[in-house]
Order: sequence, then C-alpha cells, then structure tokens
Amino acid sequence: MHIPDGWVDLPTSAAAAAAAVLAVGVAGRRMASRLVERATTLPAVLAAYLLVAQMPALPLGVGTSAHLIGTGLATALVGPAIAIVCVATVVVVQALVLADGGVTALGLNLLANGPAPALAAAAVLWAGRRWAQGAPRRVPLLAGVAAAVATIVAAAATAGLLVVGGTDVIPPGTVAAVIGGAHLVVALGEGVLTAAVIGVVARLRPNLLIHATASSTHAEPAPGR
Amino acid sequence: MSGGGHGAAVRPGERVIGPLDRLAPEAKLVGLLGFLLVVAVTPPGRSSILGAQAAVALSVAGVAAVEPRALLRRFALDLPLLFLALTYAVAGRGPRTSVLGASLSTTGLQVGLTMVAKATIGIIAVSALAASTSVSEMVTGLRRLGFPRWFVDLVGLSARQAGVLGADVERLRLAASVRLGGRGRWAEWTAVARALGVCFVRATERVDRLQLAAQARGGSTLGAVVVAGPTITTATLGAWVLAALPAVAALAGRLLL
Repeated sequence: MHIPDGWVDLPTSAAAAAAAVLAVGVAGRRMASRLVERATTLPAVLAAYLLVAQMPALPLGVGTSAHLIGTGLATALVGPAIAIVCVATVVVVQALVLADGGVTALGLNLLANGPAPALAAAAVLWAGRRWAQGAPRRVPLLAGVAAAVATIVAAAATAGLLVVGGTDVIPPGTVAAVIGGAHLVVALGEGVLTAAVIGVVARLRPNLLIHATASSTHAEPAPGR
Repeated sequence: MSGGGHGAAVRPGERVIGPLDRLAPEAKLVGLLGFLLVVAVTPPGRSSILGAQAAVALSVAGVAAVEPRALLRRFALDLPLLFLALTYAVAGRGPRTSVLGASLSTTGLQVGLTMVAKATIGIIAVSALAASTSVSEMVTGLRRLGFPRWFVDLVGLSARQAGVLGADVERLRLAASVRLGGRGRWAEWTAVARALGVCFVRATERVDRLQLAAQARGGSTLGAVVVAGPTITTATLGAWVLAALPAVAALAGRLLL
C-alpha cells in the first residue's frame, strides 16, 4: 500500500523525503561502484521488471487479489543497494505517471518500500547464507522467507509513518494491527511467489543467482577488481 | 502520456495534444506539488473546501483530456484506503454517532472521509500531469528541478522498458496458463511465477543488448544511455504563473470558504 497525498503531516513527509534522498544516494553510490559499466541499463531494466511484476493480479480467495511487491525479489536477485535504487525508480514512476501513491508522500513511500524492506530482506538472506550454501533447493525457500519478511517490514514502516505523522484520532496500536494484519496474507503470497520465481530462475540460469546466497551486495563480479 | 492502470500508462504514440501539453514540464511538476501541498494542509471535515479543490483538480484534468475510464481504473487504488478510513471511523476516539445502525466515531469518520477525499484529489491531479506529459518531458522536468542526472536517466529508461517487458510478461503468462490447462488458483500462480522467472532471464539479456547499443553510440558511462528527444520548452514566467493557477485556486478556496 502506498501512502497517498494528505495522510501524513508535512514535517514528517519532509523529514522522510530527506532521509529517502540520503538512503537512495548512498545506495546509488554503492551501486555505481559495483556496476561500472551497466550502471544505468541494469537498474533501469530491473526497475521496469519490478513495475511489470506488479501487474498480474493473483486471486487470493473471497474476491480479493494481490500482486507482487518485489522489493524482496529484487534484493534476492541483485542485492540491497541496487534493489533500493530500483524500488526508488519504481515508486517515482508510480507516483508521477500511474497516480499510485502521493506526490507529497513520495519520501514516505520511498523510505517504507525501499531501504527498510530491502535491508530486512538482505539481513534474512545474510543470516541464512550458510544454510542455503551448497543446497540449491534451499535458495528459493530462503528468498521466499526474505520477501515475506520484507513485506511485513514495509507494512510496519508504512503504519509507523502513518502513526507518527497522522492524526491521533485512532490509537496507534489499531493502525498497526489493521495494516499489519492485512499484510500478513500479502506477505505469505509474496513469499510463495518470490520463492517460485527464484525457483524458475534457479532452474534456467543458476549463475544469475549468486547474490541470493552471496554474503555481500555484489551484483556482478566487477571486472578488473 | 495517456492510458491507465499499472504499467499500461507507458504506451507511446497514443496522445491527445491539449493546451497543457505545451506547458514546460518543470512548471507543471512544481504546480502539481504546490496544489497538492495546499490540499494536504486542508483541515479535516471542511468538506466545502475539499469540494472546491476537487473541482479545481477535475477542471485541470478536463483541460488535460484525461480519459474518464483511466481515471475510474485508478480510483481502484482508493479501495484499500477506504478500508483504512473505515477503521478510523470504527475505532476512532471521541464522541460517537450512529450511521445506518453502526456506532462510529464522529472525528474518526470525519478524518477518514477527509483522507479518502485528499487521496482522490491526488489521483485526479496526477492523472492530469500524466495525461499531458510524456516520459521524456517528465524526466527533463525532473532534471531541470535538480534531480540528479543518473536517477532521472533511470526513471526515463525504465518507464520505456516497462512497456516492452509488460507485453512480454503477458505473452509468457498466457502461454504458461494455456500449457498448464487448469483454471484453479494454483495454475494461475504457477503461470505468473513461470512468466516472471523467464522474464527476468530475458531482462538480463535485454540489459546486455541495451548496453551494447549504448557502447555502439560511443558511450558506456552514465547519461549516455538516454538521449534527449525533440527540444522541450523551458518554463517562461507566463508558464510558471499558469502552472501555479490550480494551487492559487485551491488556496483561495481555503481562505474564502
């Protein structure tokens, strides 16, 4: 869920925007040092991939549907630094072109959907790297867990920002419970779908998946380094 | 850029040129931000002000020739927000009123409705920008407003690539679901997973092709990938004034109503 315009007060939005600029800037710098050559093409195509990955609506049951969110998937595929930059691109396109998420809330949505879930997913992948090493079947599972955790973290961050910068007309616990509860189902779907997608990639091109188990944020073996 | 839902907006060649299209993109972006800031600080429960601001947004959308169907599709983004607004009404503090037999918090209801109204105004306003601004204009506007070049290049390139990959994923998904035969939930999920997995592999191949093309053009560094299109007008004083009109109108509504 993206925060729309007018839901969070301006000081919180401005602070979030400043933090988001900082986080994306740091991630961009890390990315540029890793991807010497393809520093525009790779993240641009991956951001396009994430935009597209959100399109197919999947039936969840009782008339509701979900779609992939993708921060966890991106982190598993290319590491957190590039994932943060890609998600930032996606959030900007969504806010300015697709009217999904507020323009004044851009910083909030960047923060809640980029750095927070990407770092959480990276932490899960890092913690499980030993467990998945040398066991190719475990890699999709680990990525699925990371994506589910990332979704929960993104929802928690969104709820947190709504509480900090929102009204006090409703107890904070209720906001957290409603958003968190709704996203438990979403997180489950996200985990299953991410695991399935990583499974397909692992079957087709296992060499593309070194990042899911690699301990660092290396996106490609940098030439000449 | 016209068109609607997720990703579908990135469709080149379908554009109605209106008066708003000729306005410099940086002025439109600042004008949009100014308008939405005024809307954002409107206190809850002031329905006449919000109504006036919605009317401003709708008239701009009319000038920008926003397709009504695209707008309606985007209102679907409001659905989870409606659910959250309902939570505010049900669980809000303060005095309670009875609406259709349900006991709701008066302030919670007010705040919830205001939030949904603001979100809807935002969707209308952004649709007006999106309908009257191509991706390269948008990107140029962001660049002129001081967004770093590398990021702006990313936004431009990815918005264009999304159209290509989107068509690819749809084909792959159709092929997978035909082969899987079943109609159940499991078959649909498997089809999407397969399509996205194959699409990722193809996306990495696309990166190589784009990189090759960039190198052939003589540059592999940042900024060499996205080429500037036809010259995009720079904002004149008149353009800034024109683009500020919705924000001024919204502010006037706030002060007068």
